[in-house]
Amino acid sequence: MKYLHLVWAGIWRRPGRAALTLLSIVNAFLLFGLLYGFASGLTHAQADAHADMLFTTSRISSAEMLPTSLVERFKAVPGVRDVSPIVSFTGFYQRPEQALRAYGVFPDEVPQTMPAMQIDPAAITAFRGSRDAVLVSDELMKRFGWSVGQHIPLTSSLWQNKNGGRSWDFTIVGRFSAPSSLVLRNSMEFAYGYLDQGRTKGEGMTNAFLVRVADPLKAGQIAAQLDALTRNSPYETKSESEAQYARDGVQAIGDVGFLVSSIVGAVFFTLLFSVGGVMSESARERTRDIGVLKTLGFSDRSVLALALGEAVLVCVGAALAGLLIAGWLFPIGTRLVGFNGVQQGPVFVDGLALALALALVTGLPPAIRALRLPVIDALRDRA
Amino acid sequence: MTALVELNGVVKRYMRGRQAVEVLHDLDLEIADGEFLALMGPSGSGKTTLLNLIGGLDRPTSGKIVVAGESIDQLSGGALARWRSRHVGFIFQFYNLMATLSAEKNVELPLLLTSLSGAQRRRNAAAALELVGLSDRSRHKPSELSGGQQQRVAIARAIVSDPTLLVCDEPTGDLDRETAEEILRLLQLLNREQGKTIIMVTHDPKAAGFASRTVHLDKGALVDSPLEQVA
Repeated sequence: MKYLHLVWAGIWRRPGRAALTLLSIVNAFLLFGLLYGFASGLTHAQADAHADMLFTTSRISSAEMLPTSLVERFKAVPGVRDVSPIVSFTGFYQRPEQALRAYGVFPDEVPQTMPAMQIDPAAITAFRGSRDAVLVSDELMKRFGWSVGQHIPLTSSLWQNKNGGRSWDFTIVGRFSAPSSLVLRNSMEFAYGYLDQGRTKGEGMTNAFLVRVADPLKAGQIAAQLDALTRNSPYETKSESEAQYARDGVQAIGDVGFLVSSIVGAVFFTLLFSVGGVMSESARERTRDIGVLKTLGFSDRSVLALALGEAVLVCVGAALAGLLIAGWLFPIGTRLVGFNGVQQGPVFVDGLALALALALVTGLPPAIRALRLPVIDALRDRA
Repeated sequence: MTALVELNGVVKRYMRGRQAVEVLHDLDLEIADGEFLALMGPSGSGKTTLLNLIGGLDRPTSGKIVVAGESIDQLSGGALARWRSRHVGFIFQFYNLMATLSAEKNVELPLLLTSLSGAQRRRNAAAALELVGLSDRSRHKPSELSGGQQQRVAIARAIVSDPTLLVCDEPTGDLDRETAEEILRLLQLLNREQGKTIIMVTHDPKAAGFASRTVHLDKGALVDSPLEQVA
């Protein structure tokens, strides 16, 4: 610690250059935090998938609707335990920027078709007993400051009601947590029938089905049987595991991992040269200072440690700032775009590890030069 | 008077490309404890090389260098660095202060290598600055000080860890006459009142006049000179 002021003074030898270098590192790690947070959220959604859950959509496109009458036919397939339609109610609360996800399901099939849901049985009873009932995740309750028993109007961007408006009134009857599911823990569930009877189009139709099977090992076989039921009908289906569905969803917007890695890779490649250049230039400018320190009795290793300490303080300090800003911005950004993701802890740890690697790669060459610099040659640099 | 510094048969060769250049030839020299020695000679005579060898910044090609009873010619790089921190205070022509540190922090630098507490380091640095008459400029950066003041800070840094000897390479070479005399008087004071052994390289006969003895180097060997004075 007694050398910290030396390292600090070294960093700020040229304040303008130091500020620009720090800013470029902060920006790079801000980008890293946001993009990897996004990618990590998607990966996490795949990892959350349950092996006994199937997701059935239209074979043509997930935007195509399917008739809810398929529920009974699916239930008749041996090995199928629970089936519920799931219809999306994309909308907002009070203001468009307060976007949220709500899903219409069969109340009698909840929570069986949502195994990640942790909920009080009394809330389930209440959910099944009221037409406009809604179950809300802890995250949404906290985000909007809602309480159980509260009536909330939601505006749907998809569904018009028979009164001619897009506002739908719900009553919160319970809350749930779903720590293992990113999708569920940022959503609310209401009765399919409430929407179906009130909407002006798409009556009796749904976006997809949640199918729970008794034996996860037979999930693939049952998926094929479900799809066989609808073959050559106007509503051919595609059933796949929840994990596969999540993967398909991610791939539909491109290879996110590759995209994120490419962007961040390009940024860091540039950063490597710019920071490396600054570190080397800074060390060259201080050749005489290195000579003075060695003259006073600082060992070669101490000088190496000081030079490396400077690189670590710059890179890790700025990276920490960038990651903290990303951590602060990420929830705001996801809310604005309606992405059900949370920044994962490993993104932070990976970011700091990357910062340390950056410090070593950019700081080691000038530090080794300082280590090897003969004291006489270093002092002559002044003349 | 006992000898603080003893050089026996010291040879220093450098490689210039493939050619070996001998800068110091079989040099013998004794410097007494408490002596103020001026080392004079023309450019390229080997003055600074000799000073660097005595100060432990470089090692001889052959020969023996003993300072305060310790043979330093065979010490490893790390051991030599530790030895320098304990025994030698350096004063350079261009001060060699660290531009980003205040005068106080510059003076404190050698003490970072000791086990002293932060408070003790600050007290010692303040005492050294007071001794050179710069207590009121302790918070100033080198760029905010005159040349003479910067050299005083460098002297404070050289004496703060109470070294065995002070090694000065043209300490007044970058100063005007008046300021140079102030610095030389300060060195003389340190020699006379604090008993510091001082070895000073200079081109200036007037500066050498402040020393108690002057030796001359020419082409890597000690030579007699009409200017030589024995205290």
